[in-house]
Amino acid sequence: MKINVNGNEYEIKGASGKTVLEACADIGVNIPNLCYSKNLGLLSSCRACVVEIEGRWNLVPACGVNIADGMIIKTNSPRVLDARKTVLELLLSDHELDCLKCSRTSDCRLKKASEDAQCDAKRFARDKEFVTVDQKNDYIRRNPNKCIMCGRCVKVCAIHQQVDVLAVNGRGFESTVGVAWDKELGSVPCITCGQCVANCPTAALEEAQATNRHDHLQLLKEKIADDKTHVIIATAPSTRVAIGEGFGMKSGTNVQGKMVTALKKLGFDRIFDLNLAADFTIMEEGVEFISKLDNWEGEVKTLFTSCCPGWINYVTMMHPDLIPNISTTKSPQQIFGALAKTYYADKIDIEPKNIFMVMLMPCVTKSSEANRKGIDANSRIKDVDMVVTVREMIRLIKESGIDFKNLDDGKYDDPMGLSSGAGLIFGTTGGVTEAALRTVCEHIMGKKMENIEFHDLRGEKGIKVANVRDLKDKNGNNIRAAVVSGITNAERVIQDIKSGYEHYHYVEVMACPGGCVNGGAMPAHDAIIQDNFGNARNRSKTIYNMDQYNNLRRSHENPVVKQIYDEFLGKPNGKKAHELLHTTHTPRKKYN
Amino acid sequence: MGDLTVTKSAFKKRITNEPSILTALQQAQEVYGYITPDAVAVVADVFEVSQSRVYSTATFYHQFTFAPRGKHVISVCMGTACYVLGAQEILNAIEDELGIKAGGVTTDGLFSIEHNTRCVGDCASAPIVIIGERWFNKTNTTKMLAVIRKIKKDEQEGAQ
Amino acid sequence: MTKKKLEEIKDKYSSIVDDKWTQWSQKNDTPFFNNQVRKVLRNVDIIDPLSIHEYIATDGYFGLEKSLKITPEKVIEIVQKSGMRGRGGAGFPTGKKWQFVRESVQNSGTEAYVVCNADEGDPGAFMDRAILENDPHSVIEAMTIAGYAVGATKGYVYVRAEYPIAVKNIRHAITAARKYGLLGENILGKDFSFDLEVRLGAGAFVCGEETALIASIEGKRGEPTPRPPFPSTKGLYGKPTLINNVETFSAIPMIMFKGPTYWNKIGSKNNAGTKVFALAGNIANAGLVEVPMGITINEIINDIGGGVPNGKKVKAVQTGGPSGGCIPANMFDLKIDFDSLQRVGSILGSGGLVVMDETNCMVDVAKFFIQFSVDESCGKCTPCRIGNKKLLGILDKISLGNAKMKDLVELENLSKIIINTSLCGLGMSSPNPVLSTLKHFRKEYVEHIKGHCPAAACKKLVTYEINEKCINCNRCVPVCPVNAIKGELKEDHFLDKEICVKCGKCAPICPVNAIIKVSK
Repeated sequence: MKINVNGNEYEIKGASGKTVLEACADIGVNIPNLCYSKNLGLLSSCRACVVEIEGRWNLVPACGVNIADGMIIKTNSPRVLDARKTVLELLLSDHELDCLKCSRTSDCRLKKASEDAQCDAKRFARDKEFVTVDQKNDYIRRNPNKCIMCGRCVKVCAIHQQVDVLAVNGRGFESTVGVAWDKELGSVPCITCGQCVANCPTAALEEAQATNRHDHLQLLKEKIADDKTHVIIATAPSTRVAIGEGFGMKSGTNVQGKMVTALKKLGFDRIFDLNLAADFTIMEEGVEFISKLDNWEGEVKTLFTSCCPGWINYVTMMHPDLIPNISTTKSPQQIFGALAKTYYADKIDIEPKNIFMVMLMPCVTKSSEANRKGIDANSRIKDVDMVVTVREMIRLIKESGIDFKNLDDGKYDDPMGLSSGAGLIFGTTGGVTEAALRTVCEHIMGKKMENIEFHDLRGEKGIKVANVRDLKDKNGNNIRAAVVSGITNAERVIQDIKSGYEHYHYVEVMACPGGCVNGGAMPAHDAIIQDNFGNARNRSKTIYNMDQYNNLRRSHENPVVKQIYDEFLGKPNGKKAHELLHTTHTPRKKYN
Repeated sequence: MGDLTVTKSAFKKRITNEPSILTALQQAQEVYGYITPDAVAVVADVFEVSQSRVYSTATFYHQFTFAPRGKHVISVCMGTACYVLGAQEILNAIEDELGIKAGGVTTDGLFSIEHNTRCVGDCASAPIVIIGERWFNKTNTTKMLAVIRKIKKDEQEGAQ
Repeated sequence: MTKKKLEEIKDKYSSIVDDKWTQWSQKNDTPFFNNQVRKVLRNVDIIDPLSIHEYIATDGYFGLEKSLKITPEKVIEIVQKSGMRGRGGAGFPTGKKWQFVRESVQNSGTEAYVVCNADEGDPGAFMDRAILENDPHSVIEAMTIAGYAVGATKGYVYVRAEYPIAVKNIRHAITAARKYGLLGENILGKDFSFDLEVRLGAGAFVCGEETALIASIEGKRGEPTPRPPFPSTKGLYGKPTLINNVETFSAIPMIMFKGPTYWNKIGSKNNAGTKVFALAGNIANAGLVEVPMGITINEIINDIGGGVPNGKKVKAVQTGGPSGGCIPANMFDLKIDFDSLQRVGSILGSGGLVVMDETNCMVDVAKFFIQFSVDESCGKCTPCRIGNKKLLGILDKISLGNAKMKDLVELENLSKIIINTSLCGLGMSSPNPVLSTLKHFRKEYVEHIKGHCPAAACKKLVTYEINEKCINCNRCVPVCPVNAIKGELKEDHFLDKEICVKCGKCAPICPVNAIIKVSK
C-alpha cells in the first residue's frame, strides 16, 4: 500500500490491518503513544497519538485507524503538534511531577513524550487532592497520583492474567484505577505477578518491598558498608540479558560479565550465579517427578512446577485442591538461600546470622516468596534476606557512578558460581521443562541423548504441548509436558486437566507471558510500539544462544552440584535434601 | 427504603437469572436500598467475575449508592429549565436548612439530599423538587422550606 | 391477530377516540396548540396509554400490517423516501442507517438487534418521556417494523431509570402487544417473530451515546468505544445493531401506513417532517411543541410560546442541551433545522429550547453546561476527562472576576482541541456552549474580566440592595448572617454592601421582593 506521510510517499509492506501508528513507525516517524499495546485490545484513551488524516474533520488516534491505499497523513502539522502538546499538558496537570526522584525517570513514556513536545507542565493547574499511595503488605506499590488512566493495567490483569482485580472506579475526572471498595491490593485476589507494573507507562505502578517499603535499598547500602556483615548476591538467569538495557545497551545483550563486575564494584562480598540453584532444582524436581510419575493417588495425575510465586499465589488461592500436585521442590531462589546459610556458611566459617543473602530478580513478587511462612529451612534464620529487582539495581549502579557499559567482564565467585545451560534457560518460558527433561530423560533412558534441545517447548505461544520423546508412563501412555505462561492460559490448562479433556504429566507455569524474561521488574519496554512481550523476545533468544554454546548443558553434570550432594546433601530427595530444599504449600484467602 | 434482613442466599436466588451484572446491581439497590459488600460478593459469585469488576461497574452509575439514604430522600432537579428558574438557590437553602450538602444524610437519618439530580423531564413545570414520592412543581425556596419543616414536625410528633 | 381483527377493534373504539380528540381540541384551542403540527405527538394526552384498543383505533399497528406485506427492502426504501433523520440529535438519515444494518446482516449471516434509545438525558428535553408514557405502542410498532426491515428478532428499549411511569407504561404495552399477537412468534400470521425487552439506565448521561448504550445493555460500565466499528456493523454482543431514538421510531408507523409523503411533504430542504421541541425557561407557555422543520425561532417563542413573561427582555435561546449552543435574540429569524443550527455554532440535539432573558448570565450558562459535562464524562479519554475540568476552572475564574483576557484565549483554544481530539460525541460537543457563548456574547465575558456581571447573576460580581418597595417589616434583618442589614421595625432599612457576603438568604424572605440583585 502507498501512503503519504507529511508530504512524502511511502510503500508499506504487509499493510493489511496495519494501523497508522505502526505504519509510521515502520518508516521511522514515531508518533508518541501512551495507552497502546498490541495484545491488550484497542483502548484509544490517551489521545496523545492523534494525527490529521485527509477527509476526516477531526484529529484521529493513529492507534485506531488502519491505513488505506492513498491515505494522506500528517503527524507534525501545527494543528497536530498543538493538540498533542495540549493533551500531554492536560495529563501533566493531573500527574505528580517528581521526576528527579521517580523510579521511572529514565524510561517514563509520559516524560519522554512531554519532553519531545516541549510541554509546559504549569499550563494547567492541578485540580485534585493528592491521595495516599497504596503499598500496604503488597509487593506492588500503587500511586494514583501518577496514574494517567491509560487502562493498560486493567486490561492485562483481566485478559492475560484473568485475575481482574484492577478496575476503574468512579466516573469522569474523579475516576481512579483501584480495587473493589477502593481498598488495598492485599485485600483482593491479587497474585502480585507484576504484569500490571510491566505494562504501566509511568510510575503509577511499581515494585515495592512489604517489610522495608522504600527503605530496603537504604538497608542494603548499610549492610554493604558494614564490615561485620558478609553480603552475598545471586543473580537470576534472565537478569544477565536484560540489565544492560538500563544503560542504553540493546535488549538481549549478554552482559553477564559486566553485571558481575558492577556488583563487585557496588561492594558485594561475593557474586554468585543463581543458575547453579536452578541446576539443584532440576535434580530435586527431576527425582520428585520420576517418583511421583506412576504413583498419583487423586484424580489429577500431573506435577505442576512451583518456582513462580505469582503462579503459586494463584493456584493456592483459586485451586487449593491442586496443592498435592504442586512440586514440593523449592524455587532456585530459596534453594540457593538455604544452601548459602548452611553449606556455604560452614565452608567459609561465618555465622549464618552474619550473612546477608541478596537476590537479583526480574520479578516483582520474589520477596513474597522469601517472606512466605515456613519457607525457611530453619525458622530462626532467613534464607533470603532481600530481593532487589533489576530496575532497582540499575538505579543503584547509576547512583554509585559505575560506568556499566565500559566495564570489563568479571567472573562469578566460587564455590557457588558454576552453572549449566539448563540452569540458564530457566529464565524463559519452557526452560524449566526443557532443563528437567534433559536430566529426567537421560535418567529414565539410562544413557546420554544426542539431541538435548526440545524446540516444541520454546517460543512465545502461551500454551505449548509436547510428547516427551518416546518415554511412556506405566499405562503405556506417552509422557506429555505442557508449558504455560500467563495465568489465563494456566486456567485453561487446569480446566482441561480437571475435566479430563487433556492429560499432562508435567506442567510448567509461569505467570508472566514469556516467562521471567518478561518479568514485572525488568527494564521497561522502550519501543514506540508496545506489545505484551516487550524485550522478552531478544532476551530469550540470547539465553538459548548462550545455552547452545555452553559446554555444560545438563544440570546433573554440573561438578559443583555433584560436589555439594557428595559433601553435604546426600542424595537428591533424600532426608537432608527434603529438609532444606523442599517445602509445602497452603491455601490462601481470596478476599481479606 | 431497603431491607437489610434479606440473606445472601435469598438475594443470590433472586439474581440468578438476571441478564447482566448491571441489572443484578439494580436488584441489589432495590432490595437493600444501597449496594452492600455482601451484594457485590454475591453478584461476583453468580456472574463468575471478580468483585473489582462488579464494584467498578456499580461506581460508574450514579443511581447506585453505597451507604443508606435518609428516610425522606430529597431531589432538586438541576435540568437546564429548572436551573434557569432558580433551582440552585432552592438547593442551597435546603442544604442550609438541613445542615448537609447534596449527597449527604442528616445525622438522625431522616433526610438525605440526592447528589446531582439530573433533569427529571418535566421542564414545563420547572423548578421541580421531589421528596420521596411527592413531586413539587413550579416551586420555590419558601414553599420547600415549609414542606421540610412540616415533615420535621410530623416526625417529631410521631416519635413522641 | 389478523388485519380483519385489527379493523374490528378499530371500528369498535373509533368513536371513543374521536370523542377524546374532540374534547382535547376544544380544551386546547389556544395559539400554543393551534400553531403546532402534531404528528409524533398525535396521541399524546388524548388516548389512554394503557389501552391497546385505543391505539389501534388511531390506525395503530396498521403500519406494521402493511409493512409485513411488502419486502424488507421496500420498507427501507419508504423510510428513506420519507426523509426522516434521527431525532436523537445527530440527524443521521434514518433509512440509510436501516440500510447499513440490513447490509451487515446479509454480509455476516447473523441476526441484528433493534434498540430504542430512550435514555433522554439532555437536561431540558422531555419529549421521549411524553411519547413513552402516553403513546408507547407507537414505539413498539416501529421497532417491530424495524426488526422486520433489518433482520432482527429481538429488541431492547433502554429507558432512563428516572422515568418510572414511562417504564411502567412501555412494559404494560409490551405485555398487551404480546397478548394480541403483535409481538412474539408469527406476528400477524407472517413468518416473522420479534420480541422486546425493557432495560433501565442507572444514572449516566453518556449512556445515550450509542456505543456506551450498548456497553450498558451488556452490563458493563457505560464507556463509549472508538468508531469504527459502528454499531450497524458490530454493536450489541458484536452483532449488527440498529439504534434509533424514541421520537424517530414513533413517526415510523404512520410513515409506513400513510406513505412517505406523510413526512416529507412538510419541513425544509433536506430536513423533512416535524420536530418536537421542549420549550422551557423564561417563557409564558412552556411545554412540548411539535412544529415543521424550518420554523423560525421567533414563531416558536412568540406565536406559540407567548413570549417572555414579567416584562423581561428575551436574550437568547439555548438549543441542543449540553452539546448545543446559545442563539442570540437578534438571530431569532433563523429557520430551525439540523443544518441551519449547525451553521450558527449550535446543534438541534434532541430538541431542548430553553429561553433565557436578561437575568440569565451567559458565562453562568456556559459554566452550568460544562459542569454537567464534567459530571457526566465517562472519564476514559484525556481531553474530555481533564480538559472539561480545566474549562470549568477557567469559567469559574471568570465568574469570580479573577480572569484575564488571556484566559479567554485559553478557553477558546482548549475548547477547540477538546472537540478535535475526544473519543465520543459527548466530549466532541461538550465545549459547544462555551464556544457559542464566546461567539455571540463575547462582550459579557469581557465585562466579567472587568469585574462586572451584566445579568447580575454571578454571585461574586453582584451586590444586593433594598429598593423603594421595602415596607420596613424587618423580616430580613435577623436572617443576614453578617448583620449587613440595618434598620428597626417600621424604620428605613439599609443594606451595607461593604459587609454583605452575597449569600442571598435575605432576598427570598422579603414579602414584597424589595431586595434585588444588581451587578456591581
